[in-house]
Amino acid sequence: MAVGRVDVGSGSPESRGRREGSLPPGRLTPGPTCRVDFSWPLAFRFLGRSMTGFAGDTVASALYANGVRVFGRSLKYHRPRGLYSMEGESSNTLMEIDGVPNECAETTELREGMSVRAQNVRGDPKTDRFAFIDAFDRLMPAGFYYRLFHRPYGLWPLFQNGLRRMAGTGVLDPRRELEGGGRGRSGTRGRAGVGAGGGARADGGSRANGVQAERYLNAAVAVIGGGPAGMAAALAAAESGMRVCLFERRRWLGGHLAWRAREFAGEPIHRRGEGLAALLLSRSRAAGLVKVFTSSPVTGVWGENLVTGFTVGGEDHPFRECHWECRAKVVVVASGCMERPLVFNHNDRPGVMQAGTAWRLARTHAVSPGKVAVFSVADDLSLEVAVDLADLGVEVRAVADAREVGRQDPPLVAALEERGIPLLTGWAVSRSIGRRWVTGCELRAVNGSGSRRLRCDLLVANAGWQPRIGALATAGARLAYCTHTHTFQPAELPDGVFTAGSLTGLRDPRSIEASGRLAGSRAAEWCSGAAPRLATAPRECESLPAPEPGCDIRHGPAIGRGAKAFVDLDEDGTYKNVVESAVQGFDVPELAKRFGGFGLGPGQYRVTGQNLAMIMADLGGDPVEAASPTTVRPPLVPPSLATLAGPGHDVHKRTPLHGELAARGAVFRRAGPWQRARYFGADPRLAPGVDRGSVGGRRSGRGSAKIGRGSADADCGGAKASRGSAEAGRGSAKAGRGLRDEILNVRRNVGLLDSSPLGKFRIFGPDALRALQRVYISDLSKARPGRCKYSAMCNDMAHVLDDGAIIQDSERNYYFTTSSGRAGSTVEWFRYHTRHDGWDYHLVNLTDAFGSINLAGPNARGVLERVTGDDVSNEAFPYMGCRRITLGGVEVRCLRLGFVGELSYELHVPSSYCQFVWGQLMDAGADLGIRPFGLEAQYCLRAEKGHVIVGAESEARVTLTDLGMGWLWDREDTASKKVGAPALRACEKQPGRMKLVGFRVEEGAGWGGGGGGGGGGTGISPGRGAGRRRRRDRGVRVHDAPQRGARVAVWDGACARGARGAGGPDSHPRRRGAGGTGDLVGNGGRSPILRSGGRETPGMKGSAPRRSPVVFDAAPAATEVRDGWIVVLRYEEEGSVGGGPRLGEGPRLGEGPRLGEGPRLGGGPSLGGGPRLVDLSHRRRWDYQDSDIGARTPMDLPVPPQFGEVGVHGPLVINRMNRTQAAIWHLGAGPSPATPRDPALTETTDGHCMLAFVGPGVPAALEHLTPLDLFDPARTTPFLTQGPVLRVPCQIVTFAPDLVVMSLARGYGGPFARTALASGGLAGLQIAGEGVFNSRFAQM
Amino acid sequence: MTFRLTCPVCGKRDIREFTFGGQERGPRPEQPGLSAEEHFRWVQFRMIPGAGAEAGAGAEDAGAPAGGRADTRREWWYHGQGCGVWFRTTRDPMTNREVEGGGGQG
Repeated sequence: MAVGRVDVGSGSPESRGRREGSLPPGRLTPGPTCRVDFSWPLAFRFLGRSMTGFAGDTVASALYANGVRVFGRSLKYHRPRGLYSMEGESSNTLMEIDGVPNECAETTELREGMSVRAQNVRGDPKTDRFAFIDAFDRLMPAGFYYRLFHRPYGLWPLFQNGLRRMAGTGVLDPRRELEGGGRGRSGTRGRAGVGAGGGARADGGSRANGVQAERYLNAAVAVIGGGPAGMAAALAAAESGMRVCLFERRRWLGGHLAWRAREFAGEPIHRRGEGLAALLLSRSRAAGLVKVFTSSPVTGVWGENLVTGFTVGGEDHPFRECHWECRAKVVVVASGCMERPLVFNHNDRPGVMQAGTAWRLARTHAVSPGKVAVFSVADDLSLEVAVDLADLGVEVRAVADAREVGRQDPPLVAALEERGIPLLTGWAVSRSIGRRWVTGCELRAVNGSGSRRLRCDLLVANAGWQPRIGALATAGARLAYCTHTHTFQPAELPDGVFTAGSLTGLRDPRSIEASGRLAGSRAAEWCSGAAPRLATAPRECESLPAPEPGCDIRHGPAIGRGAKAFVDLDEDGTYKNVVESAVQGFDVPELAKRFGGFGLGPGQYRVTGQNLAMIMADLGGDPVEAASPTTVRPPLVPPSLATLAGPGHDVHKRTPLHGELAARGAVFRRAGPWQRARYFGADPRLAPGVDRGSVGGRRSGRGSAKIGRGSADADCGGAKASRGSAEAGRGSAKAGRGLRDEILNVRRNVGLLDSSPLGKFRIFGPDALRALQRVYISDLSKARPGRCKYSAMCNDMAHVLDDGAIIQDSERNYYFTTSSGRAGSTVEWFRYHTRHDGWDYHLVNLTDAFGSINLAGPNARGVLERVTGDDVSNEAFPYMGCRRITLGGVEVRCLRLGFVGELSYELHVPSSYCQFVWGQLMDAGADLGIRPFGLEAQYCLRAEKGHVIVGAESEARVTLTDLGMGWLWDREDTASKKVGAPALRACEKQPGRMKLVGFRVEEGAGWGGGGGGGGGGTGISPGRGAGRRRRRDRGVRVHDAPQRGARVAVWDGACARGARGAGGPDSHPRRRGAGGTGDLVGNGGRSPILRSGGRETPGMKGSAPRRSPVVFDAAPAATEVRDGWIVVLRYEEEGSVGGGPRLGEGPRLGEGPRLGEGPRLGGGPSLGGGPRLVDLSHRRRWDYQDSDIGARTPMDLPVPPQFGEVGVHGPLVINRMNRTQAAIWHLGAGPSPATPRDPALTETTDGHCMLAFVGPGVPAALEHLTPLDLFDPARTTPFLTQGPVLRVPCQIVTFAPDLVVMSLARGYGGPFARTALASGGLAGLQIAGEGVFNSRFAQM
Repeated sequence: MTFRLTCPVCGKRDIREFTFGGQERGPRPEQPGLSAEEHFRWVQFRMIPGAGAEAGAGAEDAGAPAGGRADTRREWWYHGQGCGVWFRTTRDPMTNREVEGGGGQG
C-alpha cells in the first residue's frame, strides 16, 4: 500500500517540458530524471517579489532558479548563507513559509501562492543590517554565552534579552498551528478545499482533528530508506512472506539512483532505480505485504524496534502531517550517505555547495547551479558529478581531488580528460573568494607545495562521504571509526537491526543492491527463524566490489589564518572555536558540543559530527580510531509541534442521560473520564451570584473555583480536574439563582440527580466475602440481602480512599458501589490486595451497565409511588434498605440512602432504559415541580449536612479516624488482614492529628465566596509539617456554599492541633476579617446517609424503549424494533460508492479503501467499497467467570482452551479472556437466547458498546485508531485481542481482515464512535446499518 | 524510552498499557502480633537495586549495589488496558528489558 505520493519518475522529457528555445530563465533542458513540470507554473512571493516556480520544485530550487543566492543570515555572525545541501542538513535555508517559521526550504514542496521570507535577517538577506557583526567575531569566542556578559552579573538580563532578540529565528503563532492553515493550501492546483482546510473542517472545526493524524503500524520488517538497498531489502523480506514497511524521506523512491544519468551495465542507472520502485509498488499492491511510505522521514528508532516518524501530507492527503509509529521485529537501516563537508576558509559563502546539491539542482529540478564551477572533492561519485555538469553545459574550470594519484576511477579520469577539465590530484580548496557569493577560489596542494587562484561562481566542495547514522545511532548502535572507509561505522548492532547499502561504505550500485537483498533475507530469517530463501545473496556479495577506501582529509590546506572556516554552519562554530574549546579543556566532542554549540543546531550530527570528532582527535594528538562522534538524538528530522501534539481526541464517557440533561440546559464539566452536569439552564447574564454585592466578583470567583475543584476531586479522585477549576469558578458565579433554586427544590420539594458515574460492581464466588473483608474496613459478614451496609476502603497507610454501600444479593454473591472516582481502579485494587492469596472470587464491573438516578427531597416517595406498583412505604422499604422495584416494566435496583440529606432513593437502572425511566420520573413529578439538579447543588446540599466526600474533605494524609469515621472499623478482625488496619491501630491514638469539624454560618453573613486558606482544592495546605511554623490562617480548608451561605464542612487545623474541640470560626482570623460569624457544629462521624419516612400508592406500566449509546447523525432508511431497541438496518445514501453517510465531512485518504490488504468482499452488494462502522450495542453479551472455566459449558458452549481464542457457534461467539473469564456475544441475526440461570453468568449487554468494522480497508482504518496488531498473520482467525483502541480498553475480535468487532465500556460509546469516524475517516471509514454486518457475518 | 512487557495472557504489549504495582515484597504479613514497625517495613521498604536479594525482611541490610550496577528486579504489573491481570515479571532496570517472561496469575 502506497501512502505517500509515489512518483517513479517516468515520462519523456518532451512531455514534461517545453522546447529548449522557450526554457524559463535559470533552467536547463529537462533530462530523463527531471521531476519538474514546466507546463505547471506556480507563482510565489519572496520578500515581496513575485517569482515563478514549477510543480515539482522545492522552495529552495525555485528560489535558486529565480536567481536567489543568499537565503538567510547565520545565527551568530550574520554572514550570508546560501543553498548548501538538499536534505536539510544545515540551517542555512530555514525560512518562514506562509508565516510558519523554521520551515526547511530544501525539503518543502513549492505550492501556489506561497509567501517565503528569510530568517535571522534585518531587511534583505543580501544587505542585512546586522552584517557588521561578522567583524566583531573576537567578542564571540567559543562558549562566549557562558563566559562573557556575566560580569557584572546584574547586567546579564540585559545582554540575555539582547542576544535572544538578535539570535531569534522566528515567532511561532500557535493559532495558526491549531487552525491548520499554516501551509496555505487554499486554492492550490485548483483543488481548493481538499487538504488542510478540508481536514480542519472534518469534525466541526473547533479543534484541528484530521489535520494532524496518527497512524500505528505493525510489521515484521521496517526498512528505513527507499534507495536501491532499502528497496531490495523490502522486496527480499516480502518474498519470504514478511510484512514490510518502507519509509523514504523523499517524495520518490530510488535514493541516489534517482538522478544519475550515467550508463551502467548497459542502461542508465536511474532506470534501475525506477525498475526497482515499480517492482516494489506492484508487489505492494498485489500481495499487500509491503507498505511504502514516501515523504516520510524517520524521527527515531526506540526500544524494541519502535520506529517513529511522520508523513508530510501532499495535495490529496487529508492531513498536513501524519505522525506514525511502526512496531517492527527487525529494522533494516539503509539510510545511505551524505557528503562530509570540507572545512576550509570561508566555506560557508553562498555558492559553495555539496556535489549532490549541484547535481540535483541540475538533474532533478533542471536548474543551472552556476556558469563556471570549480570542484574540490575526494571521491569518485563527485568526479562523476563534474563530468555530468560539464555535459549539461556548466563550465568546469578545474577539479581538485584530495586523494593521491591513482585512487581515482580510470574511466572518470579519462572522461574528465576528454572534456578538457584539469584534474589536480592531491589538491584541495583552501579558501573561497567573494563578498556575498563566490567569485573565485584558491586551490592548494594538500602537502602545501603550491597554489592557484581560479574565478568561478560555483564551488563544489566535499571531503568524501559519511554515512547517515541518525537512525542507527538512535537504535543504539555503537559507532567506531573505520580506517578503510574513513567513516564512523556501526561496530555493534543492537538485536534485530541490520544495515545495508552505501551506509556500509559500498559504492558500486550492484554491491549496494545486493547488500539490500542480503539484509532483507537476513531480516526475514531473524523474524521467522527459517533459512533465507535467497541463499545466493551472500555469495553474490562476495563476488561484487567491496567498500572502497575513503579519504581522511580533515580540513582544507592553510586553514585559519585570519579567515573563518566553519565546522558547524548552524551555530556558527568555526575551526578556531574548536581550537578554543580544546584549549579551555573541552577537548572531546561531547564536551565541545556543550561548550561551543557544535552540532546543537537543527542539522545535528550531519554537517558537524564526523569532522568535529576527527579535528578534535587531531588537536588532542589522539588517534582518530579512539574518537567518537557526538550523540544523535531524536527527532532526527523535526516534525511540527502540532504533529507531536497529535489530533487531540477527547474520548470521554457520557452517562446514559447525557442527552436528557443537555436538553434541560445542563452545563457539563469533565470529572475523571466523565462529562457530568454541574447545573442547569441558568443564563449567566441574568443570574448573578447571591453574594456578589458584598464579596465582589473576583473573590466570589475564587471561592467557587475551590468548590468546583473540590467536587471534581471527589469525582476523579485526583488532580486531573485542576485545569477545569478556573472555568468552574467562573461558572459557579454564573450559575447564580438557578443553582440556588436547584438546592432549595431538593430541600423543600423533590429533585433528580444523574449519578451514573457511581461505581457499581458484582462480586461472587466462594471467596467473595474474604476479598470484601480484605479491602473494606468494616465487618462485611454483616451484609444482608435487602439491606445496604455502609463501609469504607483504606490503603496500607490507613488513608481513606473510598466509601460505598455493600449489599448481599445471595449467598457468596454481593453487589457494591464505589465513588465515581474509584470506579476505574476498583478491580485493580481488589486483585492487587489479594494477589498472593489465590482466592476464588470474581468481579464484574457494572458501572456502565447501570445508570444511577438519585431521586431526593421530601416529596421523593410521592413521585416514586406514582411510577411503581411496589411497596415503597417507610415500613416496607426503610432507611438503608435495598429493593428491586419495577418501574414501567423495567426492573430497577433501588437503594434508600441519601447523600444530600433528604429522603432519597438511588435507582440503579439498566443503562439502555435510563432515558425511559428518567422520563417516567419527570412526568410523574411534573405537577410537584420536580427538576433535575447538578453536581454543584449536590455538593452544597451534602456540605450543609456535614457529609464527607473522600478526596474533598480528606486527602492523602487523612485517615479514617481523622474523619471521625472510626466506627466503621472492625477492630476485632485480624484474620482477614484488612488493608489499613495495622496503620489505623498505630495512628489512632497518635497525638496532634487533625480532625474534621463542621460549623454553621449565619445566613447572609457575607463571606460566602471567600473561602478558607489559599492553595489547593482539598485537605490541608502545605506548610504545616512537623517543625515548621504553624500558619493558622492557612490551616483551614473551607468548602462553603456560596449560593446559600449556610452550613459548611471545615477542616480546622487550629482546633485539632491546639485547643482540641474548642476551635471554631473565631480561631480563624481571615474569616473574621471577611465579616463572617458562625457557630461550630459537630460532624459527629455521620455517614453520608440520612433517615426519613413515607407511604404507598399504586404505580404505572408502560412500554420501555431502549437506547444505544451510539447515535449517528445520518437518516435511517430501514429500521426495526427488536427487544425494545430501535435497530437501523440501513441508512439512506448507504451503498452509493464513496457517498455513504459519515459523521463529519472528513476527506478520504485515496489509497485506503482501494488498496485494502484483505481479500475483496465478495457478497456485500450494499458496500460501497470502503470500511464501514456498524453499531451493534443492542446485541446481547454475557460475562462468564469461573475458576474452573475449562470444564464448564456456559450456554452450552465449549470454552476455548487458549487465552485469546474465539469459538464461533452459529449466532453465538465465545471469547476466552483470561484464566477465569470468557465473554459470550450474540452476533447472529436471529433472536437471542434467554439468559440461563447460572450464577457464574452475568448479562452485560447494557454495560458495553459493541461496534463492528466491516469491509475492505478495515485494517487501514484501524491503523489510525490503535497500536494493537489486530491482523497478526501468525494468529489464526478468529482471535481476541484485549487492549486500547483510541486509548480506551476494548475487547476486539478479528474474524477476518474485513470483519472486526469490538466491545468497550458503554459510557465511551458515543464519543468513541465519533472519534473513530473522524480518525478512521482518513482511511474512508463511514457508518452503515446492521444489514452490512449481518450479510458479512452470515458468511463466517 | 519505550519498552514492552510480556503479559501472561496477552503476550508482548506496549508499556503504556500497564500499571506498575511495585516490587515483589511477599504476601501481606499476618496481623495478630504485628508491630507497627514491622508493618511499615513491609509497606515502605523496598529492595535496594543491586543488592541481589529478593525484597522483604533483610533486603535493606544487604549493602551497596554489587559492582555499581542495578540488578534485575521482580515486579508486579497490572494489564489495566488489556485483560486486567496482575502478574510478576523480572526486569533489568538498566535496559528495561525483561529477563524472563511473566508468571503471574492468569
